[in-house]
Amino acid sequence: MLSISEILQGNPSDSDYNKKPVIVQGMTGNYGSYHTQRMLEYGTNIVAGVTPGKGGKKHENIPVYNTVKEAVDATGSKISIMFVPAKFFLSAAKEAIEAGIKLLVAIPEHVPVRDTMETLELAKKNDARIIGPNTPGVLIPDLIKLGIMPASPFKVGNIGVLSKSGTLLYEISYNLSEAGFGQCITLGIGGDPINGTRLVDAFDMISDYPNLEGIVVVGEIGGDAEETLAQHVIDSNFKKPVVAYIAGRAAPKEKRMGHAGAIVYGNYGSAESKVSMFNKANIPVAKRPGEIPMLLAEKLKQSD
Amino acid sequence: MENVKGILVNLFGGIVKTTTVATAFIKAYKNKLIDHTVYARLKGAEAEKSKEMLKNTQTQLFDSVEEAINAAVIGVRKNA
Repeated sequence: MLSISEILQGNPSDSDYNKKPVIVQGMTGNYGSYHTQRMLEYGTNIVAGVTPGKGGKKHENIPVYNTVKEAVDATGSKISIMFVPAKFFLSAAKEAIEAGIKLLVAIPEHVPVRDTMETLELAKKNDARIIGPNTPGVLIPDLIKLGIMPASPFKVGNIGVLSKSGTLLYEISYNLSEAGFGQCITLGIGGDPINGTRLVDAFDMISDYPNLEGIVVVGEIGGDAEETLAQHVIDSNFKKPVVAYIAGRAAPKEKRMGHAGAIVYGNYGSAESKVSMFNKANIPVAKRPGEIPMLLAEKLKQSD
Repeated sequence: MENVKGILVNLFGGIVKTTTVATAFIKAYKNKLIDHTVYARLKGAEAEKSKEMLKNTQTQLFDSVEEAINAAVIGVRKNA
């Protein structure tokens, strides 16, 4: 499987190094067209759109195809970002994977869990990665935006940011940028109970990113993604600073807090469980998003 | 709305444009659905536009969520 930097950037010897071609599924829809504009403004090399029935047309000078296969044949793209309604996600994802897409950024929220699971199985069989669903996407500052995040919070630097929450990804990246900690890559795993790329997978994806100096993990109540990550950090003996924030510490139990995955059953998925595991892994947990830069600075100083 | 003493809104817009939220506020004010002060921090997508839209309304705008929270808590306590 290609590494995330190989897919998103490639090798300096590639003719499309740092300009990897991207397909937008659902490009002609409301969300798709708005965000295609924003991604183009950011510098993302969007080469084709796919909307069944609109093949042959152009949208903002970008060719539209009826199928992902036609788009891939025409452009060689290995990346697709999906702005399709949740009920069409499974068929659109299947189409993309079968057409050879190796990175799928799945934006829609409310994709049925069963559909996500089926998609993941197919992706695994085909060596493809899924980010999401219900994700803001992935962004490398000043280079490529595959998602819906606002451009302003992100600055170039050496910190990796992984998050369940989209808004907190922006918020914390903004705080990091203001404090002089730019980002090398920021990735939203999404708020669903099943994630195409789990926190621990995202961690592995970025832990050897060129020039990485530290990782910020933005978790939230629900599931055991943070606990799994913490154990992995311990087991892998990862040396670089990792700091975290957990959202939802004051949430009542057994209430779904917005995200489908953000719900506490007893102690399972509780903030206490996550904070305790992070402490065990020597990962300081901020009490407020604004504290993250300070915790990171302290950790960086310790490792000097 | 009887037990509601104040309204705090924090938005860093990505897929949700801040102008969509601002439009909703203005409609709610016009239809007198909200008589509280609204303490809001709007950032991200179309933020400059939404701040313009909300000038001279019963919205108090802040740059950081901490400032908005402090103002909301102080404001609500003052009126208690």
